[in-house]
Amino acid sequence: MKATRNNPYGVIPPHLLNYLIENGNDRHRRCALNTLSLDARFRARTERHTAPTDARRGQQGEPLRYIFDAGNTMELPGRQVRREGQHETGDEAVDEAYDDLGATYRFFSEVFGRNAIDDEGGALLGSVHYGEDYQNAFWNGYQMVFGDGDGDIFLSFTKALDVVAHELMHGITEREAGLVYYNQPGALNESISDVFGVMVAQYDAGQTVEEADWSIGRALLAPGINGTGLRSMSEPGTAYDDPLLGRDPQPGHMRDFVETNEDSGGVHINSGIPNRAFYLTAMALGGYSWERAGRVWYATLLDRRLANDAEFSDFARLTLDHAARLFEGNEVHDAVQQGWQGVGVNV
Amino acid sequence: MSYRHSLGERARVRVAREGGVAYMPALARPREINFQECSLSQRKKVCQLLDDAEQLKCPGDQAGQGDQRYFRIVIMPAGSDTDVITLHVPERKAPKPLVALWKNGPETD
Repeated sequence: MKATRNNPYGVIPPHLLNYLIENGNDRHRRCALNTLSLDARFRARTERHTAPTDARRGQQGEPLRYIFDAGNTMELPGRQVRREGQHETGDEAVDEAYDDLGATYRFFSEVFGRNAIDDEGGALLGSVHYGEDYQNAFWNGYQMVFGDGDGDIFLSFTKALDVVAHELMHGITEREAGLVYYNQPGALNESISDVFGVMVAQYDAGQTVEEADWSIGRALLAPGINGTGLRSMSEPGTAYDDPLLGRDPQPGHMRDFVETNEDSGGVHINSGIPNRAFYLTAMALGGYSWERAGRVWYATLLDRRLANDAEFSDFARLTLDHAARLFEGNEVHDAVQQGWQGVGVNV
Repeated sequence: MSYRHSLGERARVRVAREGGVAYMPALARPREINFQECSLSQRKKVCQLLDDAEQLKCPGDQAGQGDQRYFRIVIMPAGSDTDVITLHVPERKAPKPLVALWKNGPETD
């Protein structure tokens, strides 16, 4: 409450603060700006400490899900509309988020014995109907947030299990490796979300690596958009080419690595390289991706030697270590090595 | 530092909305404001907005974390790509005038 007491605009909603910033005199504008900044930090702190859902813990194998409706505002988390064990609400976004978080939880529990994001059974929080026609989903360090999409380019972001899992995975990566969200470590961070996002979808569908389509976010693109998804892990750079979206800029090999200041140093661009390394590894091994390639990648993520500023080659070297440690013989080790070599990462 | 006092007529400013679960070139819609094409009043408003953005900025390696969107503002005091100043403003903190500048360009007098 300190922030509120100390600031004359502490109880004013953000849209009014924006109005003051736009139309107020210098003093009004300064106060409003300070309040917006303080308010964001304050909300983040208080949500962590007071959210009643956060104190509870799920038993191993049992998720603890809470879904909120942001009511097309950008206030989080919104109104709680479904919690663990409750019946479907009839609101597609609410029920899809609930189901997708459940499917993601099951994957991590059944394949890796992991109990939720924190591995301590912490609650999985998701807010739907965020913003107006909001074209995004994200992890804010505390919960997952899903927009409805605009209907012309993107459908609701709860429609794609791989994207829901991608966002949840950001929470796991943050806790396990804390990879800096810039340049190569940031691209690794993004790739890890794609790798596990795609595995969750394959596991849920019971697909082998040969049966899977290796695209991310196929279900998000609205009819009429020329694309197969947000990204292709098998052929980075081929996911879409549409006047409304532009052309997929992802490289699939180090020789095409994109040096840029955009996109946090190309985190969603250069992630195509480690994405394809995983794809090549999984395809070489065959069967189910999570049984061998997935185990190697997961062990690497948990490895304390993985620095938060790790580059592709650092991550690759650790995958080789874990391939040799986890599996007898050379088959997995060689597949991992060839996967990285196939994208120009020398190991 | 106040941009109102430090940016001259040769300055240019680029604003793009970045971040999100995918980088899609057409959705970033970078907009460039050339001060030579702006009136004094428009320049003042843009500078005020930049002064405000200075208070709301966050480090570049935190702005987009977890697929969160942000505005990337590149200020070119001399009008060229050398000696640029870059500000990252998280979308959740972005004031409406910044969003409007990105969407529509400088407000007409």
